[in-house]
Amino acid sequence: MSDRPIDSESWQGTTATSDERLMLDFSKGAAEAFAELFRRYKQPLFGFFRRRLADAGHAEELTQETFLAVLRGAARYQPRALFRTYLYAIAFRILQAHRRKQVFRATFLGQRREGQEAAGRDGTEAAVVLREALRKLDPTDREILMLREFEELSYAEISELLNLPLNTVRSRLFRARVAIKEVLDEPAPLATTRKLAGFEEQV
Amino acid sequence: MTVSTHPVEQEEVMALADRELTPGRARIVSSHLAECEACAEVAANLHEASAALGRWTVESIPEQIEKQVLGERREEGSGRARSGIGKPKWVWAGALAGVGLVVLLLVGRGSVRAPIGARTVRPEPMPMAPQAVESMNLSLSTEVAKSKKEYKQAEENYKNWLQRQQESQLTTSLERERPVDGRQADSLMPLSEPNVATDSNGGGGGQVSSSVDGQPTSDQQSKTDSNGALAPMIARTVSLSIVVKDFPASRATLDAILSRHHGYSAQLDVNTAENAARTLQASLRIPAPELAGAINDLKSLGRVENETQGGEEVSQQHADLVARLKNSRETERRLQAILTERTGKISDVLAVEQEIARVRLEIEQMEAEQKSLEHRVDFATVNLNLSEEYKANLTLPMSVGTRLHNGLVEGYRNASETILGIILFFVEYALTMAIWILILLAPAIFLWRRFRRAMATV
Repeated sequence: MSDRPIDSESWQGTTATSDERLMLDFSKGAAEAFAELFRRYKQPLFGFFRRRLADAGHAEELTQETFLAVLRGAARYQPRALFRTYLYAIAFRILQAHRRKQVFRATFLGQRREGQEAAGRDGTEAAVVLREALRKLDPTDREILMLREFEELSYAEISELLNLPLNTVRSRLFRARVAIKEVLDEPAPLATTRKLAGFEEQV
Repeated sequence: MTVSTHPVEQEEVMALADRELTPGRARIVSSHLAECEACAEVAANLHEASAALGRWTVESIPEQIEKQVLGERREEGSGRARSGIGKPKWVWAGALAGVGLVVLLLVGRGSVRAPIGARTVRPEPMPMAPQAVESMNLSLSTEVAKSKKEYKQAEENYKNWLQRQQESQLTTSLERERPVDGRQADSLMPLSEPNVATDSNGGGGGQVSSSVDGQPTSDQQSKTDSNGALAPMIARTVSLSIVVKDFPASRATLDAILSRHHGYSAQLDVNTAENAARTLQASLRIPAPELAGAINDLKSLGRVENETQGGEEVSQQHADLVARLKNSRETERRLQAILTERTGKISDVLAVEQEIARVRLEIEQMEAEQKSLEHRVDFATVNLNLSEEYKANLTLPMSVGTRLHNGLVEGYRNASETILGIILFFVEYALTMAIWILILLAPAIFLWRRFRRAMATV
């Protein structure tokens, strides 16, 4: 399913209302504005988490948590950037907190990390292959690439979100694209083949 | 070293596809792409990579998420309190810091010794008057003191009890003795009487009390013995309530009156409460012949509000006591004679000795009763109540400056005690903490590095 943000034509008439306008309306008490924002961003945001986490349940949980954070921070919202940047910034912080928690539990409490869970629950063959390919990239390069390709953030938005210089974002994005192309062109390694076999058996 | 001969960078080729170039730069890169096969290939590769990633789709978000989030939004709108999740971190941080501060303060206060001035000073126990020992002996019951051994034991117990009582009274007196309005009570109560055992330690304060256990002199007693059978014996009691204008002067005059008439105060309480009239309650003992003169002198202290006089005829009671005493002494003498002259079983001897002890106790009890009775006759009791003619003074509360000064001093003291407490804490526990740090440092560093390595991979 496509996870591009949906432009509303039903909100307050026939013309589309910007996300920022909706958020301002919501901060002033318009409850329907939040419902509209939720409708526009629920799928993109779920996609954001789903592609980064192996467990769909965790992705749902973090999606919900992100919207709740928006809900609670509405009174303090200032339209200094695009709402989309604001939303993904919140989502990114929540994701980082989740990862820290996972690593902490794995390091100090001996629990299994999400990345160590068995693959095969990703839904599609492409998902399995791409997840494996992306895992081989440098973490920052991977994040830049995913934010550009899936969330369709501009270089400036990525730069702001990851707190990196704009030129660094551009060069790292280029490097990541070249690297992913090379990884995808390589013959499938044995581990990936096994995972795909498992996936086909499940299907 | 490789030098690029292309007029555009490869990243610009990518930026063109991403629409991240300025229009002018986009035209240049576009025209270059039309001419340069290598750059066109780079663009094609990048496009393929993007297209491959674009095939990764995810499933739809479950419907119940929408219900939960929008339900939460409605709860937010109605202002209902939520629990746990999403609570601001500063709330927890603040609570933690507060708890830490309280613990620190408690540790600090616990470690700081009280200043010398604030320590409680307990005076030495007051030595017991011999009269008190004698009267204590007389209150022993005959049933308890069956033998001399038991008698001595009971006597010892009674002494200890009396000492404890006195210590308790002394502590209470010290606690009540804090200055109320700055007036020194010791200036109000000179302790010049003979045979006086006082509860005051001379520190001065709002309330002062003294107690005297007076006994008639041997001369007085012999006089009573010689005249007791002839003259009626009357124990006189007088109550006086007097309002005085000059309280300190009246207090001094009272001492002079007692000295002049050879009397003493058995008990005296002075109350100097703030913003209230000062009062004095005393139980005075005046020799009977001097009673009239003493009462006249006391009345001259101020305006008499109430006067009551009474007398109790104790001649018969005294005569009866003397007769019983005589009989008991005779009985004791006969028992002593039996013990000396007769022989018999050991049990009989013990029985006689027990009987002698019982009679001896009765004799001592009656002797004390006789002395007390004669003392009541020889020394009239005057219950005096002096109260000051109180004039209210306009006393202003402490000025703002004084209060600020006091606050600053108190704050400085608290701060210094806290700092001292912290220092003491570290002095006491620094070594232990260092040992534990050394023990835990290596595993902590190991786990931290492992955590950092794991974080770098996500």
